[in-house]
Amino acid sequence: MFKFIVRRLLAMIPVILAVTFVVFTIMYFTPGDPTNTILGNEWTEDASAKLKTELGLDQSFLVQFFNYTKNLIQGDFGMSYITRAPVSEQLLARFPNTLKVVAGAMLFCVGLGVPIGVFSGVKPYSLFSNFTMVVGLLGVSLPIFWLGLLLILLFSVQLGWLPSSGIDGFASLILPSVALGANYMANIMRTTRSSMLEVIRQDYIRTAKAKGVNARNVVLNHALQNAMMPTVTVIGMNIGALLGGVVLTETVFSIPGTGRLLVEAINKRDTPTVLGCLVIMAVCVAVSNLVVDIVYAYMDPRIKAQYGGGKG
Amino acid sequence: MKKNLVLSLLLVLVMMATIIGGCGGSGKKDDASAKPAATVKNPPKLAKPTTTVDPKANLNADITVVQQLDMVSFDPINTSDLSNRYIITNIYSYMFAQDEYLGNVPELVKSFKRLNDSTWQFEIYKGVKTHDGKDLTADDVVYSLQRTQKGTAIGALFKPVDKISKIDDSTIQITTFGPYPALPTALTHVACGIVPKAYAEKADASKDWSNPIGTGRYKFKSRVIGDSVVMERFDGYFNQADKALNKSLTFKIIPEGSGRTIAVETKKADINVVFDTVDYDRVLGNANLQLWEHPSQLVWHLGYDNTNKNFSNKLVRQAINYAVDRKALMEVGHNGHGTVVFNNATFAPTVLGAINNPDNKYSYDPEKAKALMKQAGVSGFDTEIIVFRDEAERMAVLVQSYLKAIGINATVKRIENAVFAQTIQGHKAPMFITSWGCYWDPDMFLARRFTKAGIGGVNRVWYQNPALDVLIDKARTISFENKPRAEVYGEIQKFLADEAPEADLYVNNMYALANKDLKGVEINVEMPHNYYKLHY
Repeated sequence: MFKFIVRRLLAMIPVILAVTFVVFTIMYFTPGDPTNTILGNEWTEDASAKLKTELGLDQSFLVQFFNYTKNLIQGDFGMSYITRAPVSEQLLARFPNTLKVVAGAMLFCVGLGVPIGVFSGVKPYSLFSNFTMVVGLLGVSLPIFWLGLLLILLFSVQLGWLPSSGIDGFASLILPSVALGANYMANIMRTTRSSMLEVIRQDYIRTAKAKGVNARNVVLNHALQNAMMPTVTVIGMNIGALLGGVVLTETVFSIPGTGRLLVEAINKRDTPTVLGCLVIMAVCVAVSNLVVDIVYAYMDPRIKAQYGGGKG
Repeated sequence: MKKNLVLSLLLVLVMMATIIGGCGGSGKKDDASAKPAATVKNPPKLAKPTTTVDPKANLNADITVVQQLDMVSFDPINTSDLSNRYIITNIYSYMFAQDEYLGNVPELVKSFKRLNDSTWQFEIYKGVKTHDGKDLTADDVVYSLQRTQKGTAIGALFKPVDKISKIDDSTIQITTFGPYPALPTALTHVACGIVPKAYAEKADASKDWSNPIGTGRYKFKSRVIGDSVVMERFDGYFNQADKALNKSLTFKIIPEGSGRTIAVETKKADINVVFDTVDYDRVLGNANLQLWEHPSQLVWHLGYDNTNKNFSNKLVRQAINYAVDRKALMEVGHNGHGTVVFNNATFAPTVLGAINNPDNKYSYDPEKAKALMKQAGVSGFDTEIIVFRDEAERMAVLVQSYLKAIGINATVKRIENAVFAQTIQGHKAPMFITSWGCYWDPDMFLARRFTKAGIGGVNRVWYQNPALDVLIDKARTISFENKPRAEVYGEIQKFLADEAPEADLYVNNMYALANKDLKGVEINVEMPHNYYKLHY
């Protein structure tokens, strides 16, 4: 298992470099010049040329990419074209906020999605099950941006219970987590429900029930573990999706996170900042996939045996 | 089972009603202010400079200002970005500050004189203290302005500046390459913020500008990147008669328009300085809020590439000017909140020498437009209108119909803000709609908007004319007095009205939304400003 983890961690290096190359190439060939953004109405050809030299934008694609990669390997994300401050400074200030929101949303998704999915799978035709399906459909259909604004209008403006913006303590995380997590919660709930429905009809469940095992034990000890495999996959995939969705959540709730930073940097063609945000996000996705694989191993001994045999 | 089915159907109906209701509500936002508000409890007030302060006023309030974008850098020569400017101008002092119309008003300068057409001497106040308790010297001012001159953010405004030098402990001298009457106004540019030499050298060496030291009304306290900037009143500010009227200023960044409105509604902030007019009606019905307004000098215009074969004919350009209904465009672009301008030189009505409708031309007259097209021998052509902002996109659709009436088939293409300049530079914007923010002194924009110097930059319409160059030069050199210069600017506007290098449409209003009890709200022609005057 240890070897598997080390191997997967090492495999992340070429993945990150590939992400860097692809993003760098896209940014390089995307129309738009950061000197226009920086100089605005005071733009002149001379000033633009001078600025390009200062920022190293007058160098060839390969030289720029080589310099960036060389620095990245040493842990240096470079200097922002716009702020002229280290990108790492912005990332350090903002990434913890993004992590908090994503973690809050994940807690909301899993904490509600799994139990509701299980209960609704066990009692598939109950009123509760139908209700949760409608809620699930609603959750999947509502755009994050719209739901976020509705939540603000209700809980901040009308009721005055929760803050509408910023990130300051647990209370400020509730609305963003719900807005970001609603869609994914519905996904998890629906996945858990359908796999539970499938597992609950298996022969070994029927056997357990015939042997007199009580319903609670049948669900928790016999059905749940097998039913959770697809759910764990969805949770793993959701981490990447949450990092994508966090851009909108951070905008609606004015949270200074990497999602908002990324959008602002793209709009201003600030390549080092775009790369910094995406590298961090790529690392997160890679690590979360690794965690999912490890969880698989603990849930299914057959997979663990494969990892141990070096087939992972 | 049947009961469950009925309940489920009911739930689905409720869900659909919620979604349709929600969508219907959001769809109303653009035309919200086209209708009068149901109950207008506080109509917008005109924000003019504060002259008196109530003796009972609370001058120790902590004021929170919300704006849309985060600042960029505390280094004044880094960028001329607006979000940055209105934060850092509280920390640094300037030789001249900006007034209501983006003209100049002395700040650090006690007096100034011109020795000849190209030599200026400025006397700086004595006893100016920096935030770290030192005295500001003439050396600091010279070093700071020389640094500005070497930087890129000031751009063309310092091109006429030759040398900056110290005469004595309180006098500095600036020489220009020729007469440059706009110099005091150029010194209001954000990049001219005075940074003590010792701090600037240290910050430059360490590339760390995160703890700025200046001589302004506020001392920097803290910053959370992307979230907030906090500054507190500097009690040692040299001009005690004009010191901050509040104890601290906190700038809070809220990118979403309604989020900023909500922040003021819920008293999380005192003033929203980037008000989104989507909320216009809603806030007028709230007795706890006050909306402040002020005409801007942001001229929305329909531009066209004068080198394009379709627009190289003056009669076609004039026809377009007659074909567009500016009032209707202002309704579509800014819900009618602004002032229509009949101009072709990007002169807002409040800049030096501005004449609205200089040659009494260009009222909406489609028949005259058609006649001009016929006279030009042009039956029609296909073209493209480039836009990168929502307001412009809405206007472009209307312009499309006006052009269609005179035989011009235009398609509307929306692009990103970041590629607009390159699109212009590549002659890929035959027509476009955008805005231009005027300084009060036309010399600061005219010489680049319609001359060779601005080609590839802000001369987006690619217009050049030696006769105009002569007039622009005349306006700069005729006198340092405003009256004779204004007369020449009148000539220029008449000249350009005939040439019609672009169609200026209107200037929109600027807004600030504040708590109704907040005093000292001021808006200049660019955005709310002078936050140091805010108090309760």
